Amino acid sequence: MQDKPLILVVDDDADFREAIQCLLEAGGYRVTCARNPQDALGALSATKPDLIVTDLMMDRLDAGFQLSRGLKQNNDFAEIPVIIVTAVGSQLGLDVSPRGDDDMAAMNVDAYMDKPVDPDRFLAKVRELLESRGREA
Amino acid sequence: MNAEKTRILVVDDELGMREGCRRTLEAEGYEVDTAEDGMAGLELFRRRGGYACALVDMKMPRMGGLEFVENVHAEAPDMVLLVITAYATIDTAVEATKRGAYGYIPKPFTPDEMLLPVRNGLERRALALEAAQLRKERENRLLELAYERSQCATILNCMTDAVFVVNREREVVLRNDAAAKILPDFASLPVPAPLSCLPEVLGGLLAEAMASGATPLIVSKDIELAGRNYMVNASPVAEHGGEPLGAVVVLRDISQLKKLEAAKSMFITMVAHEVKRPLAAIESFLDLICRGMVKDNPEKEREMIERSLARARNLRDLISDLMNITAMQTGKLNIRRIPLDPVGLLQEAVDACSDKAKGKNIELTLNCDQSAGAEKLLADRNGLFSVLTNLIDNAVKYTPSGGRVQVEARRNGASLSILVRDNGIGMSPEESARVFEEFYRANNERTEGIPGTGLGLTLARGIVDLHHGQIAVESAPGKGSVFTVSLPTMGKKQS
Ligand SMILES: Nc1ncnc2c1ncn2[C@@H]1O[C@H](COP(=O)(O)OP(=O)(O)OP(=O)(O)O)[C@@H](O)[C@H]1O
Ligand SMILES: [Mg+2]
Repeated sequence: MQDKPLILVVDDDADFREAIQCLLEAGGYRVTCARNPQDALGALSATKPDLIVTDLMMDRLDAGFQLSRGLKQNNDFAEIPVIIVTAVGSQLGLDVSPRGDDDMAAMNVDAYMDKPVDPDRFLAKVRELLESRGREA
Repeated sequence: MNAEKTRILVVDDELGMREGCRRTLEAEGYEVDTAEDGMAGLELFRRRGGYACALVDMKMPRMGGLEFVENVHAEAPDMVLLVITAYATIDTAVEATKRGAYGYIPKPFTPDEMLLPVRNGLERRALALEAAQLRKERENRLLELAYERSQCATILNCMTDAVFVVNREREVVLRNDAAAKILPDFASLPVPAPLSCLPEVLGGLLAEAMASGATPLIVSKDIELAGRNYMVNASPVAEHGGEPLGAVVVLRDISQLKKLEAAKSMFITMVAHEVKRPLAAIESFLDLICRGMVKDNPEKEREMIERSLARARNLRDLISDLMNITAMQTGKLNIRRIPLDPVGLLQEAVDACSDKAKGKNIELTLNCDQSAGAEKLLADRNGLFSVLTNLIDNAVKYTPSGGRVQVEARRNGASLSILVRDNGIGMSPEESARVFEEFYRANNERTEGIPGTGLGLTLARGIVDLHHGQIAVESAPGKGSVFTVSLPTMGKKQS
């Protein structure tokens, strides 16, 4: 029997981290958490997760993209799917949201979602991305 | 007209003639002077002056009419000179008109025969004077116009906005100094210069403004030239509803405004983000509870409800802080400076935080140096109070249970130093460097779960700035932090 897939949640908001963890655990996944990209890289090398869910704006505006791009450059982690979940609005001021598949590929992001997430859509996305990598709950 | 009578000089050597003329003319309302020969007449003319008309006999002793006419005409060319002559000397009379006389009256004459040419002459003179007056006015107006034109040019060149005028032949026919500064390459071209020499955006706008026809169209646009932003207004130049004669373009440098605008949208993005964060946490928790995903763990469920409540309160604080920040940024923060006793205010601030400190079993003390209360502060009471409570609140908030917070005050030359010292979690140098930034909150395992907006210190610094004071921090992770506020004191005399 295969282990349950492991998901790494990166977010600087402890409450949101907890909520996502709860949601994912209810969806049948194992979850580890990190508060910022640096801690995430530490957790990553300790145990390789099957998927990463990360916030965008942490210590800097595009910390989430920084993390996802960094993963792409590392052969060990390049294949891990990344979901960005962010409260950064795209309608005002600077728009950081990716505009298309090219953008997503350039940022090494597999999905981009607004915070808070719709639990059903979020879990469906997680399942879809894991299945595409041959990992199932 | 009646105020000053028209004056006439009669020059004749015959007394009967002189007095006859005087009577007739005076009866007509003229003022009359007489002289018995040319010499006397000339002398009177020069002494009294102001005659509109002279009747001169041709033949007189000492100085004849001819010589008199010549002299007077040279000196007063607009004076009506009428020569009185017998038929015998009509040739001389004709000669007199050549030398400036208006006409002649043959002797003998009836009063009417004399009055007619006088009236005609005076009328002509009046017309001539009027024409001269008009001519003079026109000349003055021309001078004025020339002056106005140079004034316009000066004003145009003193404008900070750049102005270009283009004619129908699509040539730039006018540009002011500011325009030359914005487009230095273009400035070296002679005027008129073809429109195609202007940057394309400008040329396009001008063409558009000119093409608008009878209904004047104002074309406005933001453009970028050589790294600066300009607001461009182009409108047709036309005389009341006529065909456009050309177009005028005004460029205003709005680079500074653009920067402000960008800073403002950045701020709004941050605000939206900061508002969405607690909302996202609340919504996520409540969604989990509603879906029954935590019903097997009542303890966790209760915790989620409590956390949601805390985040909702945090959101409310955030909004009131935001209002204050906005008021401060727009200069609308009500700052009313009054002489304040710093020691009393410090005591109040400490008292306001004492419950919270007790709740965490933190020892909160106030220690004011003797010198601290000697001079008053000129400060806004509410503003300063919020700075102090913010610092003490932070110290209590970021110090674990059982810790210590010390508030101190002492004179430091012409200023008062207030220190808020704690032995709490402290900060790394990178974190301390950013604490006054809007929305900045240190995020590490020690700050986890401590609510805050990241605006408290931004506001505090803003208020301290308004009081011409300084705020600084010294901190070490795990050891604690010291926040210092320095404020100028009022000096002994006033206190
Ligand atoms: N005494 C302190 N010790 C350690 N860190 C502090 C201290 N005071 C402030 N900080 C750090 O500076 C950050 C900014 O403080 P600030 O007062 O502006 O915001 P806040 O306390 O998070 O929110 P609030 O607006 O509710 O006060 C804090 O989040 C914290 O990380
Ligand atoms: Mg604070």
